[in-house]
Amino acid sequence: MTALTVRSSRNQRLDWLQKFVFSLTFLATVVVCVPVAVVSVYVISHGASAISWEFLFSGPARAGREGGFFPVIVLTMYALLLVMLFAVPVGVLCSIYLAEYAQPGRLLRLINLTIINLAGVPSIVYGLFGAALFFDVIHTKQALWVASATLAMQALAIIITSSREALLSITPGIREGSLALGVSKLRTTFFIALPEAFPGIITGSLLAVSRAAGETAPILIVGAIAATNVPLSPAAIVNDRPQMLSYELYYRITEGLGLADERKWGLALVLLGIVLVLNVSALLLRIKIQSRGFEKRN
Amino acid sequence: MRETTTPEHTALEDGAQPSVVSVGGLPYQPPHAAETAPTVLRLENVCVTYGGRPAVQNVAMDIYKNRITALIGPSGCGKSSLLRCMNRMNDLIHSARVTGNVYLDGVDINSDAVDPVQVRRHVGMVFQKPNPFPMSVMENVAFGPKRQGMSGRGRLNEIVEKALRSAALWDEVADKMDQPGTALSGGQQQRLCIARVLAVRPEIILMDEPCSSLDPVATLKIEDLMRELARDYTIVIVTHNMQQAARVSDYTAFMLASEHGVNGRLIEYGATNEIFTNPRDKRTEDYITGRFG
Repeated sequence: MTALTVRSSRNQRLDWLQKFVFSLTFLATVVVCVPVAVVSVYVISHGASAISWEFLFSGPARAGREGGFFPVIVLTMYALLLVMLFAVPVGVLCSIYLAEYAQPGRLLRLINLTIINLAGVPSIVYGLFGAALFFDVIHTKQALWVASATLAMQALAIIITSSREALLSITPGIREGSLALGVSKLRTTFFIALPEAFPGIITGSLLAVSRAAGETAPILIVGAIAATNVPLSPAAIVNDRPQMLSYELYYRITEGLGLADERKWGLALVLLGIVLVLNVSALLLRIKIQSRGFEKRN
Repeated sequence: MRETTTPEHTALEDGAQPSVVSVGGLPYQPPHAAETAPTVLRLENVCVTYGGRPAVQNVAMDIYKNRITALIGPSGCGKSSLLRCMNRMNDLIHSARVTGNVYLDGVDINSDAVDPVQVRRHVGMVFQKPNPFPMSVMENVAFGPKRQGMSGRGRLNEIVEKALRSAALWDEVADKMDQPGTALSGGQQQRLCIARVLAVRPEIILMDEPCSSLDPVATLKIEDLMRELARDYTIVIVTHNMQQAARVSDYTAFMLASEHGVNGRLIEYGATNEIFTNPRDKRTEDYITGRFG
């Protein structure tokens, strides 16, 4: 048995190394967090003054230099809802196939690789593909739903990947536990696996939709236009060309017509607000689902 | 060894000669010629391979009604794989291939005409690690009956209470029915998993090392419970613990891996007291006396 020795220089070097590596990881975390905080503060401080009842709830006047952006905000909501409607069911069904039913092998590896690559395709390529598919092949006219469908294609990759991971990471053994009770595979998937994976699926889906909210390039290609006054009934989805906050911001920044700076920051703030609402609702939904079942009988 | 249930049983035990009968063309020797209980599960020529690698080879054995049968042997000898043949759980392992016949009440469960889901309603399973569903205690036990189409709060409550009482868990959880099953202690979780199986009223309960993750007190509780359950159910248990097999089972099957390069041979199968006091095979004797494994 060796005696406990006083600190040698080697020990002290190791001590120093430990502290250094720890500091490095902490520093990296700070480097990540600071810009997020700075950007948020900057957008709020520059844009808050532009936010008014008129800015949020009235239509544009004098080519968007006055008035508000109510139609764009509503149509953005429509577009995002539609993205969810297009992408979530297909994405979740696909992830169920990949996680629960697909037999491991070369084909599955190929499909998984394809989906990873799908997530890496630049968004502008999706725009180009959407334009080719909808305008040249299907011959639809430019409409909001075409923009949503194009954004949905891009969202699919994230939804499939996150849902599949959520399904694959559920507590091991509970699937077998259900099957061993003489419960069919289908019911095991719907009553055991999906509820367990639901929080992960929700988070992934809303993250994908948040990303779609910020995309500009694909909707530009499928015919987005700057803010105009259009009837805001859901019929706008098929009747009107897409208007979205992301494109609106891009348009205002590049038009060079001297839009007051604070109105640009105001638009950015609204866009940030929508994404924030989406993310917070994902979080709340997650908390609600996770506590479900244990309190409803009390 | 459990008490003999009938006088004939004792009478036959002494004088009975091991009779050799032929089942499916194979010479077949009943492990216990004096057994009066009917056979509920008959395995014939059962082989399992994983990705072409053999795990169980040519196993033939009878499982008797309301008896506890223990499968023992060193790790990797194929005892769990054999157990999983008894309710077609090997179907779930992509690379697994099972051949041979497993007759449940005379029907070959490996036949294409048999639905594995149906088989598992008759042959339930409890796993090595307690795997309660992420639901309340109540929902855990009601899960099976509900999926079989049972409904009605009163009826389900009745089934759940009965199952929990049979699993010797009711007194401990009666006031915790709405708490998550995962919040119970390890031993309670395992009894919850047993209650969950009991709620669908199977004929046979397979237990795959059900006590290996439990402390000695919880283990004893489960062992007592198994003796209780054997009145109404047939139990097959895989255990790496020879004392457990000796304490709890009526029959013991000894399996061995790497027998001349082949895995998963059934070396000896017989009444537990005979296996432990008077093994016929030298390898069984070596194993139970702790010379290897």
